Amino acid sequence: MQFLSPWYIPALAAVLTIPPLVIMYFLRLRRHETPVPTTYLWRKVIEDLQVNQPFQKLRKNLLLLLQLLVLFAAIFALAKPIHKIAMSQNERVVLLIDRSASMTVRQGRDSRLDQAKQQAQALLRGLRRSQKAMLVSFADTAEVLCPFTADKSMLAERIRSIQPSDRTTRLEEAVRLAKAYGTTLAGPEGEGVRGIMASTEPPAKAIVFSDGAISDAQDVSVGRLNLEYVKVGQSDNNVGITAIEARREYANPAQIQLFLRVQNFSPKESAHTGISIYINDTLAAAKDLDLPPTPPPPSDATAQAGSAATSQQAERMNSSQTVAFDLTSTDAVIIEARLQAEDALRADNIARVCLGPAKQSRVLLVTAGNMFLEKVLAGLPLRQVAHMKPQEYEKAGDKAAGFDVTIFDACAPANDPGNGNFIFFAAAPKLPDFAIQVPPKDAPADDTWRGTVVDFDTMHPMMRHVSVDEILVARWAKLSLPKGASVLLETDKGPGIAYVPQTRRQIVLVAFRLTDSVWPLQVGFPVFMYNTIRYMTGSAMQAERSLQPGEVIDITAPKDLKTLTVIQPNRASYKVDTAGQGQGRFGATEQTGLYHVEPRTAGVSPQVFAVNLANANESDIVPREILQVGGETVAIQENLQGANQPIWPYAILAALAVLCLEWYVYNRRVMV
Amino acid sequence: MDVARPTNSKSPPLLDPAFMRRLEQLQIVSRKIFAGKFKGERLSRRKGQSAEFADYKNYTVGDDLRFLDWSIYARLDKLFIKLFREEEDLDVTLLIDCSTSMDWGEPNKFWYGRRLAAAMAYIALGNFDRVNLYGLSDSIKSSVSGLRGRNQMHRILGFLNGISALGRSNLGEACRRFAIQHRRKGVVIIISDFYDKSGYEEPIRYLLASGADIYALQILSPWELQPELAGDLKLIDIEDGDAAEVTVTSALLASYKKTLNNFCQSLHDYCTARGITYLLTGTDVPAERLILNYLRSRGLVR
Repeated sequence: MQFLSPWYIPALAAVLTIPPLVIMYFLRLRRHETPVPTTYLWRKVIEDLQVNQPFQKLRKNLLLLLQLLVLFAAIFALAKPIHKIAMSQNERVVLLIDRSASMTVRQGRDSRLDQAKQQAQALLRGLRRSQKAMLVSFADTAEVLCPFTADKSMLAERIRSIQPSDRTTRLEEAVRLAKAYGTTLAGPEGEGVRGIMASTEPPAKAIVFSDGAISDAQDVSVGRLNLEYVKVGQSDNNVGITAIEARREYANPAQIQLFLRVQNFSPKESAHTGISIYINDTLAAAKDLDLPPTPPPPSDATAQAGSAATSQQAERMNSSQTVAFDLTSTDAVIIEARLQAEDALRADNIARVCLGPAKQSRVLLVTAGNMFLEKVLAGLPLRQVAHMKPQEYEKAGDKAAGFDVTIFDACAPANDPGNGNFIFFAAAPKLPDFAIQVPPKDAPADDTWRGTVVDFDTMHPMMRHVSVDEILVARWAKLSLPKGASVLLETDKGPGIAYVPQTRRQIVLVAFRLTDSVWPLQVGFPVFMYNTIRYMTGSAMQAERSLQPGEVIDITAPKDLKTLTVIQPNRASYKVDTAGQGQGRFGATEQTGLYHVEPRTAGVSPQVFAVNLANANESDIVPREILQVGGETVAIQENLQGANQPIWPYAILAALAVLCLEWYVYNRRVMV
Repeated sequence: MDVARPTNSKSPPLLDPAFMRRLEQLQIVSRKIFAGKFKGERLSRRKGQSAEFADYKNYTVGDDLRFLDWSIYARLDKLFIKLFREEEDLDVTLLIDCSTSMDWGEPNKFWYGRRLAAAMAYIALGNFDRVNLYGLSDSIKSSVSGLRGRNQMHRILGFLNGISALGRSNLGEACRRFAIQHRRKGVVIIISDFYDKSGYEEPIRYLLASGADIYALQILSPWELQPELAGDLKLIDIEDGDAAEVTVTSALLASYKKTLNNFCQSLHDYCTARGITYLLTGTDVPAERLILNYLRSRGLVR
């Protein structure tokens, strides 16, 4: 029950009407004087009645009571009471609460997450006693906080326990969880899914409490789930750093190129702000920015369809501005970009990137002798190029370690090569799932070994400025790769050039002997080598040190170090167990900011890493009016507690009924 | 409520010719035989001269020879005197309650009571009875007595028109004085509403003491029988100004009726137990019908 009128209206009405009624009633009780022949009989009557009727006093005031009742009913009606009918009478409800970065936007005293929690609590109150609900919080991953239960106090408690995060928003996992619990399978209460039990209950209603900034909304398949959307938050201005990247110039590592993408997400106003760049907390550069507004997201469902939506999205992206800075430092640095503007979302106003110290790569070439490679490597800007015969490599032990890139030409190490970056020509490491069948040196270039290039990834950085026409190969080796490999060049016989990123290891495989091809004679080959070495070393230098919230980072440590401590941006420390494996994983990257790893001893890498929001989708804090999931518009759930049923007509009816009763009572005393 | 109190000035005359003609043939009957003062039209306990034979007695010297029964003497050769019943007059006393409470109702109780009194007096005068009229309130307000013969009717009407209902009820005191003052036996008809806060027992006891043949006529107005009241009222007694606050409900009205019935019934029982003829009438009953039907059936008139 709620009242639409402000409290003072019925209060005023009560003050204005009730005291006059009571006063009038007492005035009315100055009885009308009526002469009678004698009061002799009436006295007896009064005595009799007083003796016989215990409720005489009450009966005296019955009319007053009834009139007061009429007034109260009318005042009650004036307060415009409404009754909220439980929204989903027969359904189970899955509450999906968005706790991503954009939900930390503060509007007034509460953040959007607080608002979402309040709305979820309100919805909870609207549920019937026996109605079951389930609670899922989601950001880039989803978590079942409470499986289906009718225990509203537990649900309320769990809703309160949801903590904000700076993560991105992905709905897919949350919807999958909701589907798993809510449609086909139903486990016993409190235990989640257990065993196969076909649910006879209708599919649950899933209610998304979000601002609608969901990056994967188009990829989510809703299935039988009855999805509804509760829009949280109002439009607000936000300027954010949506991307940050820093790299040392390959040729001159002291030079740091910093790229930032800054976008003004206000739908109307353009923003004037400044951006300051700090290197290790020292101001290094600053720039003023004039940012155009970002057109609001399409609110019309029809406009979303097809290419119109895509072009509109592209337009939105185009309103961002890319800023580049050239900085100089040879040390390991923490570069921090700060936007001057204070706005609703703080997480995207500061972005940080950690760069390792400037260094040029050291390359080890393991070959029986390859003029092309030696020449190419000699021409590249490298600190050191070492040469080894395959036999020497096997014996070298530690001498072979410490190189940034190791190139194996038509040979492979006998054992696991360990961590590092490797390029294999006509060979494959002795690792699981890697296999290569190299044609014999004297094999004819017949159909067995000949191949045709069928696909070529021109977009990959390693293949930039490399022409596929130049890669003419007489005999292709047959290569098989593990999962996760990206094939840069594909022939009809299989992968031709592949890049396999693994944990703390990158491998590039080329499935032919250089001597079987004219490629080494072409311009593209040195370009490929330059790209590849730069890509592998460059990514090793910075890739792991700028993370998105929620991303997992691997921390290397000496084997004798059992535990590492990660200091989070909020000074909270977090123990990471390396289990003596020399490696620990850290996933509690909820907040943006700098994370320090302790102890700061040699061998612990990285010692510091940055977590940035750097996500245009999250920074775009204007709440979406409609939510499109899987190409369909999600119904908007506006009345969390169900439809507002006005009660005042009933109050008026009650007043009328009491009035009639009052009239009847008044007349009945007259009736003889 | 004032409409229920018609003024005396506008009230119709107490008697009209048609009513009087119908009253001609009636006479007031006493169940008891009283000694009269003068010769009248009523049998007396005394033997005397009348047309009605009563008994024989032996002739003694000095008897009036005119009453000898000669046919007996012829048959038995003995002298017998025929005795006749003496016819005497009757003392008819009308007591009229003149308390303020009588001045009520439509038709007005006091007017109705005087009309009855006038009718009864007319009947009595027509039969050569002696008529006495007393107006009672807290004592005897006025009286006229010993009227005999039709030619006295104007005095009776003059008396009745002269009295007014102004005074407090104290029938007990009034009847005590009446009992002292009025020694002759006869028919006593008391016309009242018996609204006496000190009770009706005392006046009736005093009347009984006189040994008279008593008739009690209780007159109530239709309003009193079925009061039309509504709302929260302060009831003012027109007689003594006493106020009673009531909130009129149907229950209250029902209770009033019950109380009224109890009151009339107890009065009735009290009277009947003491040989008093009691009659309750509403003023809406025409006086003609009351006298010609009800009083006839009760044996007051014949």
